[in-house]
Amino acid sequence: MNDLPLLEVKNLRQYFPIKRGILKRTVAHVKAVDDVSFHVYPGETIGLVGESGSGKTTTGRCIIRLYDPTSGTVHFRTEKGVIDIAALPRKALKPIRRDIQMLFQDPNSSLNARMRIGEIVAEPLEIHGIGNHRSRTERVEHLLEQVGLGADMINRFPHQLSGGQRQRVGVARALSLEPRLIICDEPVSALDVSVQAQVLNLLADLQKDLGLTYVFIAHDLSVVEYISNRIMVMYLGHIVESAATPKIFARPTHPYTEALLNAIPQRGAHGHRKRIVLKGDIPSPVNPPPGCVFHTRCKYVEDRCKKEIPPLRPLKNDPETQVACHFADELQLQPFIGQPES
Amino acid sequence: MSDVLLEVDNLKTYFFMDQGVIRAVDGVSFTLREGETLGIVGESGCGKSVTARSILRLLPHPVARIVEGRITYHTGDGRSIDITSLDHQGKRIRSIRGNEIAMIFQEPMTSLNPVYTIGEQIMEAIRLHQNVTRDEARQRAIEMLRLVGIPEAEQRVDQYQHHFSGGMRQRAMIAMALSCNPRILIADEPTTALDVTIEAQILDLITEIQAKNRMALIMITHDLNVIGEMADRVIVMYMGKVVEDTTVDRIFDAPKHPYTQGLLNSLPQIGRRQRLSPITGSVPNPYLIPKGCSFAPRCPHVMDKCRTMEPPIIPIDEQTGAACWLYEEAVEAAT
Repeated sequence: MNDLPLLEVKNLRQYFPIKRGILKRTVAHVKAVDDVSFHVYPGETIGLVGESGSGKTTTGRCIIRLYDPTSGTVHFRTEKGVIDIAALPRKALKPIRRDIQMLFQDPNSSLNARMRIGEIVAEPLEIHGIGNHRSRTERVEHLLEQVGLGADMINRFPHQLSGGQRQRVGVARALSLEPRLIICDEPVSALDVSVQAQVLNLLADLQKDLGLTYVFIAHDLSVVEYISNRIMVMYLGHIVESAATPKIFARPTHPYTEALLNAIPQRGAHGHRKRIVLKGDIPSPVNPPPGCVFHTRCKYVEDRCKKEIPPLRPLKNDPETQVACHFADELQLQPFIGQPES
Repeated sequence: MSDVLLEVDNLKTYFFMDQGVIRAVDGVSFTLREGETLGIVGESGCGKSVTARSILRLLPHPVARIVEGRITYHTGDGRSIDITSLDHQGKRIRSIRGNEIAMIFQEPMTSLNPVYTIGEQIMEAIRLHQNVTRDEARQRAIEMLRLVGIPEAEQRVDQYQHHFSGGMRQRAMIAMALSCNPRILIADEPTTALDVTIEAQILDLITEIQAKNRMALIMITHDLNVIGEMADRVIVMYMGKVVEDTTVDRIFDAPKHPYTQGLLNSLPQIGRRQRLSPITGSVPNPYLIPKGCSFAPRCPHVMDKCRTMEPPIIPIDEQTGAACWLYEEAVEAAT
């Protein structure tokens, strides 16, 4: 791992206005991402986990500027120096897109049904004016082979492919511009288990061969555990914990992480585990609770949590782990009860 | 045995499409006992949902037809009914459906009616099957909502589905399914659309209610971890067929069928940072089912015989059977 981060996100906020009435006045904001900071080093995979509405997808989309962040910076290291993606004018984004690509969840809706596979994979090359028709075709053939599809796929349409094959096309398209960072937004959650494993292995192999960096967004903790070096847990627009993957499972430090791990369905878990039940539902991001966002559902809640927002800070006896909880240093939380090694 | 509630025997449900025939369920057999949880696991298109819908005769008419097999339901008063012989819109099946055998569906969003209140929908189920007044039904609906853990049930009963969150909708669905004290509950991917913490709540709720009523449960899912948490016995389906029928412990400790083994090896497991070994290839086109064993084109242990002859379920021991020729000799040698 290099010393300098490839991506540095600081105090990122993304508020979406809610507009009402004929004058379309802004009546409130959905605080989708609220003061998020992290960095990503070259060659690593950062897993972003959280339940629906936690802001993980929005964070990914802000990095690639599919949204214009409300505030904060997104520094990306290119060969020509560090660029703040959040501050770039729209027109200046094109070169950045060569370095950062995105892989979407649903391969059915993220591929144009009227385009042939060859055209889909070649389109980024055309947009960026790379090569001529012949060299592009050669590149497309190479890319398709790289993702485990035959070059004979070039003339097929997406509907002639299976779900797993379509997601491979999505991977080939994301790779076409030789990016350094790929934002993978739930890339395997629409796939069956056996196909999911194929795509996960493909992503791991490509990372090794091409030195790619991934931000891997998913809700399935076992998938994230498999692919990530580090995991960030999000809740209601905030990062509540960030730690090396094995640590998250062996020693969670935020009560929400503890509850998440506890909820993973496991063989024979019934009766063996002390279930941690989260009360109620996730609060609305329009009107998040004051103080710690998790305090309404936390079983360790104290008065301080209701007033003071806990910052994301290093743990005292393990500064590499960051946690946003006032009592993280004192709490003894339940680790993940995995099944014994067979 | 006396506590058997449901026997499915060689069930075949086919879809007659313009392009050809899809053998969605092709010879499925299993039995379900009182208080037992049977897991049906398999990937999309394997026929697990169609099996469930065949039991309740909730198939799209006239495209899908049960072409063969029996589904014997043993009623509480000692009679047996062959569900396949009933009129799918008739009185008899309607008195079973939702009353003695209830179902919860994957999408709570699309399975609740948006123009009726939650309470009205639960009351409809109650009043259809039980001879009670409107007020009694309403009381029962509130009671059910309370049972499934919906706070302020008295107010909630008059709200519409859009007032409910995803987890609460699924709870309301469960309240509706349980309102007539069914003897069998079929849960078709009941937690797939839900977040993991809500999923845990729903699975706990189902287990709790099941323990209280000695209800039998058929849990249909693609998620082996959910099976591991919930089921006593498991059947694994592939392309409309049962490929393995065993107990939950054996499916994890000693999976027999190569497809089951492949599924387990494809599953990322926390703490086992080992490269996954997925099943190669993908599920064949349902119109062009391979000859012989339908898993043969993807099977790492394929033999000549597999490509020509379809394996029956070969009993390996008292609790386990697998539809695989690998076990033919092993079983013969043992006897």
